[in-house]
Amino acid sequence: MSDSGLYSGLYATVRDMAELVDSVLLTIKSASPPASNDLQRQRLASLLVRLSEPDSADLTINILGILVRDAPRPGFDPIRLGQRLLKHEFGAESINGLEALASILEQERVGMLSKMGGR
Amino acid sequence: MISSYLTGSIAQMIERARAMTGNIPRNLPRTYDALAQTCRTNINTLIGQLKWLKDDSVFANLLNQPERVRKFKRIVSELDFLETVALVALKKAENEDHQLNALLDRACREISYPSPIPVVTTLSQNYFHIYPDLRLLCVPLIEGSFLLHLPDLYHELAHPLLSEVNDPLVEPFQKQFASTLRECLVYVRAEQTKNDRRNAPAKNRFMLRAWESSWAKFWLTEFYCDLFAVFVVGPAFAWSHLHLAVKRGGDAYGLPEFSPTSHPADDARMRAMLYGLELIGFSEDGKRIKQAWSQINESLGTRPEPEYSWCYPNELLKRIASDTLAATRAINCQIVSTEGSSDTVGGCLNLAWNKFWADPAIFPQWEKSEVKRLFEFCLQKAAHVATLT
Repeated sequence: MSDSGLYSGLYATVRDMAELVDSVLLTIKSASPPASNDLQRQRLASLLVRLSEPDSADLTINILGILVRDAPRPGFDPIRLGQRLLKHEFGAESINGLEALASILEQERVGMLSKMGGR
Repeated sequence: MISSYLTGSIAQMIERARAMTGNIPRNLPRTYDALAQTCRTNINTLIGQLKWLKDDSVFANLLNQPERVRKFKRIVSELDFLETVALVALKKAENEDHQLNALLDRACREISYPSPIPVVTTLSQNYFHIYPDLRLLCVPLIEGSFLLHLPDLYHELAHPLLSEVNDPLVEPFQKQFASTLRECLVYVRAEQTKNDRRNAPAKNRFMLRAWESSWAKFWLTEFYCDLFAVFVVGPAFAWSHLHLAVKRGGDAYGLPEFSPTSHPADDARMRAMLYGLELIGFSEDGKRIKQAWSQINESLGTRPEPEYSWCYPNELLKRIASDTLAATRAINCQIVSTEGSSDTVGGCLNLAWNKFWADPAIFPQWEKSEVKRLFEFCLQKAAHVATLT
């Protein structure tokens, strides 16, 4: 298989994670977070906290762990971010952390696009 | 400023998306219906998301513009992809595509392929590849006139099995994959720990990280797809790998040093395939392929670096082969039999490789008539299936 298709499978994983992060960001930046979006916050928080599991068999967690490791941002700790989201701590630190994560995912997504020769 | 720009740009994108739907051809054979419907559904979903981005009050807040822009960019990427890949495949579908679709249809039925059968297009600019979310399999323009690379179709068929969601019939395949991936990562991470303990050169640390990323993102997927192909079509796929590696491959023992690579080394892939062939009773074919592979690499003077077997240890490759066999059996795909029949697509592809080695000089002549016979056979079978449905 050529690169175009191989990146396509991974692209969907990264795109879905990026969507999740932006949805959580919109929710916690709004004055009254809608209850329906709470599931998204829980899902993201759980993914981030589980990055501490050394031998996870979850594909998304393994991919996310490698993406954040390979694109370090100063002061960004994904596991602490997950813990803060679980505890409903939506201050500036959480928002900055989510924006750092959104930027990592966007960079990865755009990189994949160029390797897929389009999309 | 950004808000005004987005209002106009989003509205224009909605019109563009609607025009795309208007461009979906209406006169294609039924084989293409699934792809056409996927296009419609995806375009409609994306139009819905664009309308939300344009009108929802949450985006009146200037602080939310970064999220709005990122979401907009992702939607534009999806629409561009649908326009330049899926829509083009539908607009340009011709006779060669119809024939290959009949062949793929037959091949899938023979192996009891458990997912919707992808559509083939001959618009590939980059060898064989598949877009799993569209179920669109791209092959080079005149690949349908030749037999020796066609076993690669079976490799591509495995990709959607790994990405399909909410389908209990293919979940056993995915669960086995996740378990094998865990084993691969446990191995690389244990090597990282050992490496850190013995204060090895910094280069090793970067190299092990590149291996870890490669395994997680790409390599295991490729090994699984290779082995799936071996288990459902047999030795023809391993020969096809040799053919591709010699014609278009790089260093058969190549290793990533700093950045992850998308494909494992061709030699490691071949070793895994040979383990796979042994598991399903094709040891004799395996020996012949191994000998040819070794001789070709020797004559090219290529040799592995000392780290090569560290990156691809035999035990790990054997484990991948046996896990993929378990995964393929778990979804009830038909494992190829050593009692092959030339009355199937898979049988014909194996026969083609036997003919090639029996007399390489006269093979092209035989291939010409056999391609014709194979497509006639597949088109007849497709017509028969159509009368039953």
